[in-house]
Amino acid sequence: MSVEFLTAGSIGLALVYLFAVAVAVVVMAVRRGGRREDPPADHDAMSESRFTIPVSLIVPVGGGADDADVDRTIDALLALNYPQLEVIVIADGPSASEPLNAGWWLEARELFYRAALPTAPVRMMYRSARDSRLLVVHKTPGTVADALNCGVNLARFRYVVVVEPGVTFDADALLRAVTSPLRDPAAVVGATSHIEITGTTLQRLRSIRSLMHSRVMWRSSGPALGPCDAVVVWRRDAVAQSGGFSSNAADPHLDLMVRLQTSATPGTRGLVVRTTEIFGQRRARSMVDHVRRTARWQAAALQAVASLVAAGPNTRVMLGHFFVAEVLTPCAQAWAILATVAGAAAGYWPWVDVVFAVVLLALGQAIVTCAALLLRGSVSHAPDARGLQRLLLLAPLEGFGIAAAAACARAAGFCVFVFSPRSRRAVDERTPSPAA
Amino acid sequence: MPSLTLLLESGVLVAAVLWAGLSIYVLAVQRRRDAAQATLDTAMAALREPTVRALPLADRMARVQPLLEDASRELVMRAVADDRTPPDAAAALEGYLIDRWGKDTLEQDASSHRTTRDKWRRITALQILFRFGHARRIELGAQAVHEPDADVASMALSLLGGSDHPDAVAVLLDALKRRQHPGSRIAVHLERSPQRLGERLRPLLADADPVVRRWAATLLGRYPDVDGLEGDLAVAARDPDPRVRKAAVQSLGQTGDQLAASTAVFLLDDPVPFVRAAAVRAIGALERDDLAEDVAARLGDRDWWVRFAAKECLESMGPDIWPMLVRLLDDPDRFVRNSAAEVFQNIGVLDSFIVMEAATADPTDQKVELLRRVAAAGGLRLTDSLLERAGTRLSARVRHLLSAIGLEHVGAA
Repeated sequence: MSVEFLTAGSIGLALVYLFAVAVAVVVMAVRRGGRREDPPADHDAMSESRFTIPVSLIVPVGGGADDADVDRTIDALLALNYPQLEVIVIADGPSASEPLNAGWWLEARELFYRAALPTAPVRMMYRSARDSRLLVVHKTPGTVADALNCGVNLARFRYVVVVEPGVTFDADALLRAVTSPLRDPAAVVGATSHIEITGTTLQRLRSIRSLMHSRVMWRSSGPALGPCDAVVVWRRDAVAQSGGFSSNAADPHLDLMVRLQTSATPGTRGLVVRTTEIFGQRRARSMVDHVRRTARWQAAALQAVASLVAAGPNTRVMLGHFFVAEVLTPCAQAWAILATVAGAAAGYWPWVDVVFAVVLLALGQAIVTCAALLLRGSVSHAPDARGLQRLLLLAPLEGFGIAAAAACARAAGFCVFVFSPRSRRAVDERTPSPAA
Repeated sequence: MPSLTLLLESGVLVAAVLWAGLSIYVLAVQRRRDAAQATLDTAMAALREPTVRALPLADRMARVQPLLEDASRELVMRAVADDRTPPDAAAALEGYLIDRWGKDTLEQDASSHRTTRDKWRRITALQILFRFGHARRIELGAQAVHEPDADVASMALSLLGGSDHPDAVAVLLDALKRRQHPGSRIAVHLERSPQRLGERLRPLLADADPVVRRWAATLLGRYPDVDGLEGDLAVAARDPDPRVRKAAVQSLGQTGDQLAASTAVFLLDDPVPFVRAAAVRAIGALERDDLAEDVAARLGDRDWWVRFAAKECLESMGPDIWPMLVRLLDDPDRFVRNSAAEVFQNIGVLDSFIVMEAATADPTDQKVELLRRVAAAGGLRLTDSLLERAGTRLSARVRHLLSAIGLEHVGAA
């Protein structure tokens, strides 16, 4: 059997697999028909009840954060329609808390708290005289995970939610996000809600597809892993008992989802629910940011898959879903292109076949995007008719533009996972020992 | 390899056709959605006209009939169930719904479901039945409460909670006893019931099930005017189940008086931490500043959340408790010292002392000693916070005062 035949066969197999996935997704989406099927929620009762479990909202602010974004996010969080909440801003940069001082009338206050999770030292804490629910913590710079752990240490309430600056949302966003954990507070240790990218941009298509994955692939209430752009509601005691967010993980949230669902420690293990709720929106990132984030997510996905494989048979369904969506499908796409290019370079087939392969993959992605747009139409803040037309026309272009950069980023993420000792350490840390 | 080229060429062709076809389908679905919304908007606009609003129900129904001829049942159901639809418009649409599709269809929708689509219809039908007070609403609501589906049960619980029908409460209490859903979910709706539940909840304090006793004790906190309630809750505060004790002391904090305070003090020594924390908070809620000593003793509790509750409770008692706090500044337990310093800071005593002494040329030894002890108990960050709060005008004098008495860098205690 010649190399040429094997290469062509593997390309054919990859294309058949991708076609099957695309068709399966389209069939599921068309069967749902884009109808509004989610039951109407009753937020009024929850928003007024003293039995609604209070929430600590953590806002990590790095050195490069936009002051106006931070200010708007805090304002919106404090205006949430929720009976009891607190906002803890963890300012990591040397002067990250300074711009907040004037607007929020911050007063330096010493606050003694239980440092259940080790973090970089806290330098100063400030309580807002304008709204006592706001606490700003100025700490020694560290990783994002370190800032989140600091927030968990200071959180007074049973649930913690991390909201990055720049996310916009309506007043009921938190009620939507906590609906799932409040239904079963004993079993659910985490629940993810989507953050949608706004505007008529190619990045928006990815977030719309992510929402479709939640609706068609993760519909069951079994164990789940969240999407790339998400707000996660965490049960604080479970986070603290599992050792908090890991600084070694490529994505601290995804890492914690895996750990909490595979933990062998009694009392720590619980369920993470991937909901179809949209918490809010955010602007598209710059191309550099987007590529960097894609690379990090790919490394995080591989770490998650490696840990799930080691975790045993209980996580097979979760592993299967996540492996298909985040590893196998991108690999099949990359292989179809790379092998076609290699074959053309070796003279097995003409270069025009490379063009065909790229066009085919771009159209395949566009078909899946069409299915995602069909489902997106049934949820609030859906694109209007003109926006929809534009997104449908943009869909194939995604394959030529952003997907090429994303493929490179995914490859970089793969290399980081394979060659970085820190990445392997993250997997080792969360793999339960045979004795456990 | 011609076969690969053929596969790619035909693949591109098939994919292009699929993409184009699916795009057209998505746009067609969007157009249908827009058309349905436009139909509904037209009907709503017609119903909002003052001349139409003044008409009897039958005439209003007749006005919308030609406008809604092409509307689907789901579309009309959604409009009727929507809280934002004004009552008179909703009544006309509901009349039209029943006139066109029949009451039996609506009741059938509310009685069972198989698919997710059916589930949506069931929930919407239940909302309509409750909004218009249909005869079978409680029966169908009860049926939905017993469903394993969380969405259906949740909506039924909510509708029953908002109902003024006496049987609605009976269904909710029955659901609480069956323990099919988390007690907190049912309690949310029992608490917002428009009916007075005090006398119906009281016998449940003696129920065999501790979960029922717990929620009865919690919910009774809303009814301070029920005769003999304080005594009943004081008995419940000695329940063998700690969750009941916690609920009872919480409600005593909301409704009680002398007996409540003595019960809360008794529970400060409960073996279960969350009961002790609830007892501390109950004392705070009762505004019994005279019990500050008992609360302060809990600053040294072996459980973090009890210490935390004690700290918050002391803060809520205000600046009058400072002489008692002074004694805690030299406690052998570091947390007690830290907490006492923090309470000093948060009740404003520390700031006023410092500012007054900084303004004085010759501070008294007694006050200087007190400041030294507070700063030693609170540590470096407490002093730094103080300096920052003093502001630019005073900070130099405060810094001078602190350094003069050796307080600026005392380090964490």
